[in-house]
Amino acid sequence: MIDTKIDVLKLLYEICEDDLLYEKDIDLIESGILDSYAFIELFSRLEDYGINIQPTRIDRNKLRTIKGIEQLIEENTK
Amino acid sequence: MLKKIKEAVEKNPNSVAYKNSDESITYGQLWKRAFYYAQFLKKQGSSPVIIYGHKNVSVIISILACLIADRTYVPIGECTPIYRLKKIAEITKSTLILSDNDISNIEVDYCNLDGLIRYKNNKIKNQENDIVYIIFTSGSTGIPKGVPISKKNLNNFINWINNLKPLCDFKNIKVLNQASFSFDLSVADLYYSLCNGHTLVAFDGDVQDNYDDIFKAFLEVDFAVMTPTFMKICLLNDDFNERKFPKFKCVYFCGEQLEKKLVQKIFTSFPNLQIINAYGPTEATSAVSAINITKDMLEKEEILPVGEINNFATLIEIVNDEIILKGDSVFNGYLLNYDGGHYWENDINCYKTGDVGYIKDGKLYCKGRKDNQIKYKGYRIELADIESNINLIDGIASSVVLAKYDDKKVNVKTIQAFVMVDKKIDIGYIKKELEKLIPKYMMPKMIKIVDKLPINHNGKIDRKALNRL
Repeated sequence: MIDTKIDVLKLLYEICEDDLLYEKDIDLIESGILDSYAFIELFSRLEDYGINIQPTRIDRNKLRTIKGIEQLIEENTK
Repeated sequence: MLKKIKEAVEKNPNSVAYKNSDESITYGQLWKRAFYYAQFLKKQGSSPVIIYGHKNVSVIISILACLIADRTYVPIGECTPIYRLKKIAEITKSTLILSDNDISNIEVDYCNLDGLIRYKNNKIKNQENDIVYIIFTSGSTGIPKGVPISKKNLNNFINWINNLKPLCDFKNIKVLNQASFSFDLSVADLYYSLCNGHTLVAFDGDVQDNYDDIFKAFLEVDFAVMTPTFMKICLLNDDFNERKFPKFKCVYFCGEQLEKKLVQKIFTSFPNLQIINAYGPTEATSAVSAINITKDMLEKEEILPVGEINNFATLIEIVNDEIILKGDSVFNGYLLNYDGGHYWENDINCYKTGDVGYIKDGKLYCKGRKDNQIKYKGYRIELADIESNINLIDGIASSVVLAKYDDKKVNVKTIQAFVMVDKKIDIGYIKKELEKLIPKYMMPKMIKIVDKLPINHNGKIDRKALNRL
């Protein structure tokens, strides 16, 4: 399992190199950070870590924040 | 092509011609309404008609009305800012915009399909028209490039796609439209569907935001036209498989490089899906070549082919590693004589695509670009287009825009801008101003203010050095 707190941010930054990520309370969907490319990369890279998240079976609102994604990872690694 | 659509209307007046998540229209209704609007359009001069919208039924009616009235149409996506829309209207000298959106602040008069507002100053005489549509793509000067497609071009494309295997065998099927009508991938599904009496099922929005709608559509579609990226997103769900979606039997990809890894994944979930990989630039009418991708190609081929030599829509040659297109599919030059890859050879239209490719064992392969043009989220973007628009912002001295690729050097992962300023301005201001000038998909993800831009020994901007910043 990956240490979520820092890694999700790091992972997302690696994927999209978007400075908006460091803005406080940024909504990852509204801001366009999690666009189609970042979406595919995020889910595929998590899969590489052995975390298989099905986009259709999650609460989409959790994708809006780093914290939400950390929760998703946690839920899917139990 | 209009004859073919009319035949489809007469044959199946009650079948659904087009539907999206909220509305649908039969062939009979579509023709009736389009015919009605065409009478209006015929009285409105002959300048190209801008259709500014997305996937509403009114957009399809507007397109058909233009075909009937013999008026060129210019499909523009809603994500285009008003500034760019106005620029396009200037280039096309359009005096009429059809839209369901409120664009009353645009100064060019517009026409709401329900209201039929007339443009006042139209004094142009009707002329014989050869151009069916004009698609705008990113241009390196910062002004979008208009690509006019003639009746001859489009008819040649339709004849070609109608004879593709297995598309020529399909009867009364449902065809998925993914791309916006301003992106010429949609020319393939729109005309193939309407000319054959099929039902075009439009998908609206981003798939990752709307899995329910797209999977609902996949339950009924037989054939889908899409970009590889779209398929990748669908396949993130294990539920997207042949058992759950047994009707879905054929997919047509174009607009992006199709990777072997994706095809492998598709065959795991849909072992019997027929995959067509097509290739072609906007300048040669949507696509000029296609090939069925088979499982054995995954082992045999280094990169997947994009066409077969005995099945080209137009003549294809390779000169100095570049793909050159010649003949009936090729447009007759950009609007405003924009300098591009177009040229004539004994009165035959030719186009230097800028794509690096080769032909081997009767198959065409495309390896990438020769220049700074990139494919980002399926859109074709000139980095210089973004630079030119950044330079329009008050306070900017100069700028360089770069694309960063993923580790495989296939997909552009981000667009970055480095700017020098001559006034005290911040990044928030630059972003806000730039959003007014270019579509959202062209926006750099990162903008950095730098003291100077590195220059290489040729006196040019050192893009490699910037990439290391």
